[in-house]
Amino acid sequence: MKKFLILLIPLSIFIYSAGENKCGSLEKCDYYSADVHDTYSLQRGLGIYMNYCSTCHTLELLRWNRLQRDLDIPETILIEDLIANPDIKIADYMTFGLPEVSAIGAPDLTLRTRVRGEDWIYTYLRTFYEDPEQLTGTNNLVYPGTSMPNILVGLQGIQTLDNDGTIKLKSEGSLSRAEFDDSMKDLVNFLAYASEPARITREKNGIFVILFFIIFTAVMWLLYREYAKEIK
Amino acid sequence: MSKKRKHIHILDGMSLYTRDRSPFYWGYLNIGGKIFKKSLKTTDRKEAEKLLFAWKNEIFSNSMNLSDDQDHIEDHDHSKQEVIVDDKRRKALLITSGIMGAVTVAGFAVPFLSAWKPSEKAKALGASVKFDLSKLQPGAMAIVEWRRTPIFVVHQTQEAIDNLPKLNSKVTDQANDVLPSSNNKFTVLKGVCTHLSCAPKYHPEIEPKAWDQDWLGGFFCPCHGSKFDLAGRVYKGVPAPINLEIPPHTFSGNTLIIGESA
Amino acid sequence: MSEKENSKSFMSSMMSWIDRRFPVTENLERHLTKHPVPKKVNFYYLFGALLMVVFMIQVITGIWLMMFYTNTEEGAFASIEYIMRDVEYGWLMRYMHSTGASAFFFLMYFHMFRGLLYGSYQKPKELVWLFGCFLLFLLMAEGFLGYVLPWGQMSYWAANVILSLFGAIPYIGPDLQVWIQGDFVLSGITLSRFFALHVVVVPLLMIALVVFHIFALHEVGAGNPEGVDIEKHRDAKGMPLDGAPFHPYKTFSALPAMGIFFIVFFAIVFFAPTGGGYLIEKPNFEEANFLKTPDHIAPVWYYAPFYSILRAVTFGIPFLGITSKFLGFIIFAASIAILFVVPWLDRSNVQSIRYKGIYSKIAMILFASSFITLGYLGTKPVNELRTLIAQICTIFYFAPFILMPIYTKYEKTLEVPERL
Ligand code: HEM
Ligand code: FES
Repeated sequence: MKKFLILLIPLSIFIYSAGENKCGSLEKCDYYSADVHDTYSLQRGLGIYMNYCSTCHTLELLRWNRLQRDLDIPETILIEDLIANPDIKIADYMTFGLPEVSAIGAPDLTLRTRVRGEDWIYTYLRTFYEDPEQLTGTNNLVYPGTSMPNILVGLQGIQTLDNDGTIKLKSEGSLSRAEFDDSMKDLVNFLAYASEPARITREKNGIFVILFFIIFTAVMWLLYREYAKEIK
Repeated sequence: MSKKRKHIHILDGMSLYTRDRSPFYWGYLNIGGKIFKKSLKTTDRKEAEKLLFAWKNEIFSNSMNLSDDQDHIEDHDHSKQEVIVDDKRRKALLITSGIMGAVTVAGFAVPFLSAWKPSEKAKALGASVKFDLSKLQPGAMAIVEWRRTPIFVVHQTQEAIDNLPKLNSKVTDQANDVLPSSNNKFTVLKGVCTHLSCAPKYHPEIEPKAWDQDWLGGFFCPCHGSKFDLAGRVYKGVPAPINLEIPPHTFSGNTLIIGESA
Repeated sequence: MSEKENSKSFMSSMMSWIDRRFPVTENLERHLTKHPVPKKVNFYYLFGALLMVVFMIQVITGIWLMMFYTNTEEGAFASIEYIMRDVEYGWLMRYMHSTGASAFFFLMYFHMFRGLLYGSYQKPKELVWLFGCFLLFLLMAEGFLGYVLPWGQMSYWAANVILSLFGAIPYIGPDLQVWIQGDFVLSGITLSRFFALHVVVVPLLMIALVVFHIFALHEVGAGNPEGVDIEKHRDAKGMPLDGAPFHPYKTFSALPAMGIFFIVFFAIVFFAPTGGGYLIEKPNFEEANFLKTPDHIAPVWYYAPFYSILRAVTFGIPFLGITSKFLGFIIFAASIAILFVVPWLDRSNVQSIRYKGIYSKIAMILFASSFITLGYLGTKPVNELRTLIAQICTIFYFAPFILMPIYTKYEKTLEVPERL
């Protein structure tokens, strides 16, 4: 029977190498898997989101009070600095009254990380380059022809595309390359959180459930042995 | 490495086989429906065959003496290796696993029961509501919706306030002769009759009514005729047992916040 | 002491009162406490019990999801996110349900493979096998119907693909498709009826069939990997010598198996609920959009082998008026239908693969490896090479069954021992 089990090994290899791995015009996206357990990172990500993304994009499925609870944000900061609008209740969604798809076609971001994947978003945000032929003046390696302008240019600096298809930094932004990458990780972490707030508790508590069932299995195994030896 | 199990057919009712954890060939004989098995204590195939035949002949000659009973009843052959049952251990295991099982069931129940609690959406809808008091004239009542219940907000006139002590003898709960729920001017009540949940009607006018000749203003429930005064205190001798309920609320300047207690 | 005796006699007289009116004890003994099962079986024989466990998980989590789910075109997608975010532990219910669907199939495939390996379909267990095949069919329907409910992009487009298959049936096809959809396109009307089928009709049928499956099995007795008939040798009380009562031996052997199952199940639920896009696909986090097909439509892994077979048929039979689309549908249907007739294809004088001849062994390996390869290909976009491989694997999928009457009859088998 072991023969048949060996047949299953190829299957398990296929499980994770799934799909065609292409990432826009890139061979592969830069690997990144979000960490939603670093609250400070989530807060920094929220900061970037509020400063740069929230002018065009909504988070129409995330409530302010949920955000407050999960990211440990003091109520006064939430109400005065983040919401900053007495008409918005704290149980409202983070839409700022924007429509789901804004005039320039910016989609709602709540579930985007789940649709595109975390690496995709991480790579996308870092591969804008100057392209005068585009309306926005910039283009993107992961999503060629994207209508999103490179709003992060001030942080990252201006990038250009070399003839060999790689990206070069033309002028420095306010952050170094490593700092910028870290900020983008923060932002992806935050977006990953927004796409599934329950992920924090899910990943935190899962381990206890599994430990419990390991003990469960051990006890049940002993019980089974105890009876099975009678009929050996 | 354990050997693979294998059966080698020799003749009808005679075969050799190998076992998982034994290096030797084993013999198998079926003589007239009776089964014999034993290890031949050899790893050589030829040798094993020889031994098997020898063994068969031996049994054959012996079995002449045995009665040839068709309905022969066999023994449970596993009872040969006497199993010693340790009752204490068994009991301990049964109890531990019983507890494990109970914990599992309880653990499964938690999320399923919790899921019935008000969801975030219900809580959002049930969040506190604000009401601007500045436009409410004395003597007027506003109905504010909070958690899908009508909340009565009454701006009392001075006359109404003065009349309240006069009703002390008619209401059940005399102690409450001041406005129970006010910043002295406003009364906030749940508009749900404490009898069977109809919405009582607001009758502030001081005039004889069909239900009360000495009516000093209050609430009258059309369903079964319960009467409450303007402070929500229930009259004696009506179906409703207790005063109209007061929802949690606070005042912040001219704003009434329903759903948050001070 | 006497109090204890009293209560005991009260219990037993109570029991006999009930038993005279409703045979509780008799049925408990028949199906649980005294039911003999072979005492030596291997892990393959635990999948049935696990299937019951997942079935229960699906029904219970399903009922809870149903409490919060909205079965309308406008509300469905949002209600799933409502479950995921606003309902306390809603995410757990949903992930258990979606992972449960995969687990169901995973266990089902192993359960059936066991049947093929050890000839569990052979006389007199044909009906057990048949009921099982119907269960597979129903499970496939159930999964398909459920998959539509979240009303994401993948729900919509995958359902569209499958429903179009009905449109391929000559003459009645287009009308049949419209009738199933209740609309000229797949729409909210379809969603509502799929919901009713998914939560009531199919689960009810499944419960009935599970009961039949078990009753039929208990009538003829469970098998074992050796293919030994344990009924032949009995002791004085009529208990098979190689058998053991179902309880506690079989029940207690299922418990550690359940534990291991839960470890794996919850590892997925808590740490990889989307299974890298194989259990819940990425496009399904986007609401169904009639105008935009996702770049790559792949079925969930458990349909992938059959989907591959469907796609592998790139030719029709023109002179019979059969298009490639319709032929694909026929062969796809045949790939499931052929399982139903296996009991009558196997002519072997032994049950278990352990005593069957070399051809049976080769056939099993061919079948299993082509099934897995087809499954892999089904999740990938097509290209010429892949189509060719899929075609070869399709042949290898069918060949072991079609040739079965021949090779099982003529191959040399080993002698089966008398006892376990
Ligand atoms: C018996 C086997 C069953 C299977 C294989 C099955 C399979 C599925 C699948 C694959 C989905 C989509 C999951 C997702 O992507 O989220 C689903 C959804 C759903 N199922 Fe089932 N299901 C079964 C039984 C039931 C039963 C018995 C009920 C109710 C009594 C039920 C109620 C629901 C509901 C309400 C949904 C929609 C919510 C959601 O998608 O999360 N299911 N089912
Ligand atoms: S409900 Fe108001 S008096 Fe009965």
